[in-house]
Amino acid sequence: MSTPDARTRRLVWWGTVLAGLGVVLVLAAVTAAGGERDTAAGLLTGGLLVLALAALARVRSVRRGADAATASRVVGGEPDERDRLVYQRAAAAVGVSAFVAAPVAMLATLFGADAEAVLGALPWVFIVVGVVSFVVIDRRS
Amino acid sequence: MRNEIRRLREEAGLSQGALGVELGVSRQTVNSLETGRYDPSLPLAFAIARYFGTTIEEIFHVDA
Repeated sequence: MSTPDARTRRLVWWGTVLAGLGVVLVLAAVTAAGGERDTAAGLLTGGLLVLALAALARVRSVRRGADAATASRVVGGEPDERDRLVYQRAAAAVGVSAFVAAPVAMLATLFGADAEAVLGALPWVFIVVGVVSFVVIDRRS
Repeated sequence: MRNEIRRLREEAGLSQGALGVELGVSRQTVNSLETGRYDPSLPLAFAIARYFGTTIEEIFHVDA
């Protein structure tokens, strides 16, 4: 498993962050134009918070290098091969959980659960599964 | 998989962090390698063997 050089990693990280910023701004603008100003504000706040956390992780992973936490190195764009393995396994766990969550959500809706609430809960389920998986896999590998 | 990384590192008088810097991996990864919780990729195994001037077979042992 080869590791890209520092310049490539830096370019990939900046490219990802700038693309994320673009997506957040466009989504917020489109939502605001549709009259959903509160949703647009939420999108902007949440999106910018995530990007700020990514920037913080980048600073930590570059400054602390080998002593930074696994999550900081992954989010900061400086993962080594074990960090990538932890991330990929956690992402796989989220993928598998989607196969379970989708039919469960469909059945819940069929049995009368509020579809909007079920849809709103799904991303949180995936976030929790991702974070818990990441922590468990990180501790065990 | 058992390995001799901890012994070799201590004989070389290196900390886990220092070995990590030499190998281009984190201190956590060195720790996981030493405790057998993580098996390295082939390129990293070669890098470890090359760094200690020995062979992969002399560092890594498949559990019986």
